[in-house]
Amino acid sequence: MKTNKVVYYLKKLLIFLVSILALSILVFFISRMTPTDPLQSYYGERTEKMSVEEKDRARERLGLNDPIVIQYGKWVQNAFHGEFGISFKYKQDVKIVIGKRIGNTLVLGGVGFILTFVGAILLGVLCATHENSLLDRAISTIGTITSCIPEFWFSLLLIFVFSVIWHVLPSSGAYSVGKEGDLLDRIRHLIMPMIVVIFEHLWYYAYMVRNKLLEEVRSDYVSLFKSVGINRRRIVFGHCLKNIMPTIVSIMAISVPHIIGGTYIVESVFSYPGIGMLSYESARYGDYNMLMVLCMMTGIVIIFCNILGQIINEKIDPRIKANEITERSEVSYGDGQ
Amino acid sequence: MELLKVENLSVEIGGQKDKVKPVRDVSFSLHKGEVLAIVGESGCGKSMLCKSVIGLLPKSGKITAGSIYAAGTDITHYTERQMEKLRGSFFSMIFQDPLTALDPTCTIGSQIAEAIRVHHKDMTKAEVNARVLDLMHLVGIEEPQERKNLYPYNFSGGMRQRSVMAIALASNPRVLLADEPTTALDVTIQAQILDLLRMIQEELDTATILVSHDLGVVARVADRVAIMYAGKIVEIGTAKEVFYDPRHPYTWGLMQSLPGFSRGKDRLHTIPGMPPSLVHLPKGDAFAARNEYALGIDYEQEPPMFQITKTHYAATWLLDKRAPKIECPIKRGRNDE
Amino acid sequence: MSENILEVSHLTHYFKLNKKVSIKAVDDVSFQVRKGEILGIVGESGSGKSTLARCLMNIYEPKSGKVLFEGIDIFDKKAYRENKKFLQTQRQIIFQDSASSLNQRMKAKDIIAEPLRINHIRTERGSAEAEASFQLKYVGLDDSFLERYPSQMSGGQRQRIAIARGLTTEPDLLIADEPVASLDVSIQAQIINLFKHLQEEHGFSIVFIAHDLSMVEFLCDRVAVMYHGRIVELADTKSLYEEPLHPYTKDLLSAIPIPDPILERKKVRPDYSKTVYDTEGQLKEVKRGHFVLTKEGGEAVENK
Repeated sequence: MKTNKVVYYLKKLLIFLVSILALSILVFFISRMTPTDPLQSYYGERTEKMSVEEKDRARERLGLNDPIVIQYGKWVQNAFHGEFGISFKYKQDVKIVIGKRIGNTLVLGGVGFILTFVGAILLGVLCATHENSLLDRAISTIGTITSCIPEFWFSLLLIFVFSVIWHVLPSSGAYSVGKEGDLLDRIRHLIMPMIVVIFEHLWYYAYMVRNKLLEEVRSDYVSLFKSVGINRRRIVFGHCLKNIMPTIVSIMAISVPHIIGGTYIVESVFSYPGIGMLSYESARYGDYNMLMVLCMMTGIVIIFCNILGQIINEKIDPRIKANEITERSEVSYGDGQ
Repeated sequence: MELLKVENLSVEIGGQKDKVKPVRDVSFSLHKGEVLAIVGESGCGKSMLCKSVIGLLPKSGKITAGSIYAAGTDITHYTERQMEKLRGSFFSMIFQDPLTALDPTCTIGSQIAEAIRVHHKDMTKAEVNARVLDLMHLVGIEEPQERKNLYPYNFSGGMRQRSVMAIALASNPRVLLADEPTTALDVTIQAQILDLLRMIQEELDTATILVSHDLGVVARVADRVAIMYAGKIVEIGTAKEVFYDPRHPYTWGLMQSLPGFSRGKDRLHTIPGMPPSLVHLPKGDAFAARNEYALGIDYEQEPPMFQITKTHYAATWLLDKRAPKIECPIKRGRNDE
Repeated sequence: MSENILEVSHLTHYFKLNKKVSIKAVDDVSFQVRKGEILGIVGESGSGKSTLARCLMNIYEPKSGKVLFEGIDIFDKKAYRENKKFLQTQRQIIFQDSASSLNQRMKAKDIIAEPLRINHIRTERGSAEAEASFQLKYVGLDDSFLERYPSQMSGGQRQRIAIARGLTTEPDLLIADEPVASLDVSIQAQIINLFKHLQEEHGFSIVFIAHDLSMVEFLCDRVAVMYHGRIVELADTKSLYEEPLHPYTKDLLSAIPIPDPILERKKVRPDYSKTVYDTEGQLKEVKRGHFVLTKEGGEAVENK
């Protein structure tokens, strides 16, 4: 039994490593095939004035003249030593550049994810317990509409209303100039991006919670518990919600990439200095080293979440449970359909 | 005095357009320590009758007329909170499918314990535990000390139904409503559960309402029998009266459809046609169209309950003084079986 | 041609749960179905009767054993290929749950005519619709059902449609897997009569699988009792019900509640949960046509 588990997790780990290797190859080769000039990001405007020899020397210095396979080999070698090179654009170690920005994204994406999750459960439970009431129908309608609006358009709408017309919220950045340490100021900058991140995904999950819960509430055990006098609220929260949680969590884990992707778009619209903005810039200007690290980071998070989702899902899959039953219990005669 | 009394009860379900009347003008009473069986085909309203008694009608359902008395108190218009106090302590209900009637993620013991605590909030942990073991012993689960920590999927169908009964009996209800408790079980297990029902009812002096479509099951456990058709009780009496001296043509039809009745014959006797839909009930007696003994008045006016003996009633115009005398087609001699 | 339409010998089928555990759903089962007879197969849930039905229809491929249908070995790949059309049209199965075995998006007429379309059979009655209408009449429904969807019918009517679909290719053998279990008593009787009619008037051979022993007694000519994948007793209906020999059959029969309060209350039943019945040995003919599972070298079960 125990060795089985070890083998199971080893398999998952292997899948994880192979996926990351494949990802790095893919990103590395595709980025070098795109028609961007990395010198553009290193020297900026100056590139246009540089002579052919100068350009060639610069390329040589940045190691861009080697055959692409050798470049990749070098990159892997360095990566194992924790060296990812410098950012062409910022002329700094990519780790430092990313280190400065990652906090912003973690706050936006992480807090956004948690709020989405909590909000979805609250909203889902609210709708399920008031099934087909006016409240349920109103929330459903509004939810469907908001989740249909594209992120960038919704962002622009918010900017237009709150920044352009009412001047109550800042339209871009993570903080006002000279107010870097001001928490309140940072929160004010966070409000609109956060709203977009949450609202884009909230209803999707809330709807899932609602339907799963409605399905669960119709189980016979709910009727039995009601018939012995157990409070309805207690049954819904103590049993039904508890029973659907693993499903919800596993689906949320699988869908982390959606939220990350959404965050990146939101960051670029609000010029919010996070990883998303950085990814966009590095791809646009051929900042290869930066791009590699960002893609790998995002990829690792996504693949990890996917595998985590799979594991949770397999844990709760009734068929797997059913197999365990027949191993354990004496009444094991299945009709086998 | 009657433990439970239902007087002229009518129930409606659904909106304006597709209003269904699953219970129409039903009256019966239940005495201490007796088993009353309610027999009928699917959709005749027998389950809804039980649910309306215990206050578990679906949201769109409501009692439109009549009253329900629990130990002499009118509970027809009790609020949900008041009903919760009665459920479990005065009556509780068990359902058809023991496979889904338990929370799959909680141990059997914890589910029984939860049902005990509803009405005994001041019990200590040890007391609750002792009561759990007592109940498991009562319903015939051996080695309760070990089995209470098992999950529903470790149990066979019969054991689950026993667990369901333990939950329903947790607070010593005076009335047990059992909705087709053995339909999903194999015959040998059905026999055990029926004997258990009978044993518990004698031991604890509970009164039982047994809903069933199986006349054999009813014969085994019922003291009195009510036959339901299209939302109405068409015949009610002691088991002996209904089985040996049935008066309603529908009761005749039900008994004649059983293979035992047609032994040695070429075809089974059938009741022609199908039960009417409860949305559009025909004028007059709902059974008239399928009744080979229907009189002209059956298509005009619903028959009242005619009294045959002190305990035996039937709703058919055949019992009217002016009706032609019709012999019961079922000859049940001593040499029948 | 032999007088048996179906000959099953030593059929065994396992279900693998995982690498270590497998379940013998059908275990060394042998029996014959004679032309024009209704053979009942009874057993409780998990006895393997549905698996057996599916093996007979080539839905499952058994681990070992042989099934001859009209002399054709249905598990022999070559024989199966050569007789594919014959096998597909001459055997039909009817399932318990007609709500899920009928396509909800098809009208009755299309459901009934589908086997013809699949097997490219030219209809005798001109159009597919005429064929469907004919089959409907056969099972006691009128033409108004042609245009209906399964959701617009009652359980009994759906089961009739399922039977009509089974009849369109004019099969010789019908396998009915719990066809009345989900129906009400009065509707059950109608369907049972329909089966009886099909056998008597049109000479169908039917394998009728059920857990309701009293329906089987009425309908079937012979009955096989299954327990844990094995046939423990096989006999003429009358002989089996009047003189059950295997202890499991006896218990099963005594467990049926009879609709007679005085007799039913008098019955004292053994505690079935404690009993485990022997499934060792081979079927042995104790009386003419009455087979009981008997241990190797042992005496036939005593008839007390």
